[in-house]
Amino acid sequence: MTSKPKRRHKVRAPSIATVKAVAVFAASLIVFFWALNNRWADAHIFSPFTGLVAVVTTWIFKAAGQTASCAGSSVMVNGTSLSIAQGCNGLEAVALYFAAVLAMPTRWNRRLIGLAIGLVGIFLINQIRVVGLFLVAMLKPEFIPYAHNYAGQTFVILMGMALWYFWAENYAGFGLGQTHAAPR
Amino acid sequence: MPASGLARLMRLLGRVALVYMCLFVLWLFVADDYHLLLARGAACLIPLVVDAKIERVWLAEGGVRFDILFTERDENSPLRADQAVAGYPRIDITQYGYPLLTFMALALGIPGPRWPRKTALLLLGVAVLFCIYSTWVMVAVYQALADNQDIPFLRSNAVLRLVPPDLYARYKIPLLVILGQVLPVSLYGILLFRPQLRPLGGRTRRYRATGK
Repeated sequence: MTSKPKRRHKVRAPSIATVKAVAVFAASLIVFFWALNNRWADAHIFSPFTGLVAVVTTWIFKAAGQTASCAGSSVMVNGTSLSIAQGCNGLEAVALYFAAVLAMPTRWNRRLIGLAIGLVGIFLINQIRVVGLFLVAMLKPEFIPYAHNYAGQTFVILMGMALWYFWAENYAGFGLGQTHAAPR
Repeated sequence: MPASGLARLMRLLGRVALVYMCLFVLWLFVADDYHLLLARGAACLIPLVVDAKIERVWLAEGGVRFDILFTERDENSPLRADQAVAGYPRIDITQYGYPLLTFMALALGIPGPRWPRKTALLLLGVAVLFCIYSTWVMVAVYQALADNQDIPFLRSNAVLRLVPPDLYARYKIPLLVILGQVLPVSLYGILLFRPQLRPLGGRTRRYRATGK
């Protein structure tokens, strides 16, 4: 009696493209997070960027007919003051998004489109978060820890990744819903 | 960006936001139980050095949540040796809960793969995140104990050798950012692109037919 030979499940080794993508993603993250913690970059790039977030927040509330003012990264709206800290300017989500875009094996012009979409998109999304946090601080201040730690951070990261998915499907030529990173 | 592209983007963002809002509302009901589960996971690892049990205590000052209390198994005193320390080491375990929410919202909100594969991705991801965060809670408990105590066995144990308190104190915030934001997103990306991840229940007829 002969027994059928056992079918072995073949484990495919990750392709060079996959290994390269993971390596680029990890290396980009290390560089971006190092830069985010660099004092020079903080003083000359990130702090002015945080100031821009504060200025735009002030404009939004002024446009809505509220009394708003800002000094540096602190914003005061109708007597409620909040300071926009380093982690609240959306740059961590931008770093994550940029790393994901750079890791995708596609042409550089497509990557540049992706970087532009992410920078503008996450800036706008982060503005929604900051304005939302102000509304929570003014109306229900006891919910600020929940809104800040849970809702806000997760919201920006999720929307950032949704932007990345949109770019990957529509601009980078990847059909993520159908196949595994098969370029068109 | 053409108008149709913008409409597609808005639909996608709306879909992800809706899924997130639904999950967030559900999360408010299950968060305390999940944190307790996470603490139980950590408590399974803690007896490697300290015999601990956990219980849930109502945090009166917050009024909206439970705190998890790690106590000595024999006597119901909190895990600490230095009686001069007021209260007990407080570790905010809630920050290890929202990465799960991020991962679930990514897995369910972003269209991506079909449902059998998505379910497999979700289950595997949740299990991996649970293991990572319960281990990290254990590390945090040790760090809190090391801050408050001067016990030789704590200083020489494997956990503190692996993550020395000075290293932990210096890189706590970047590590939390990595654990809270980078990890769920990276895990989602890895599982999404992992060709070996089979759908729950094996390869379906449609999968076999299409060869995906």
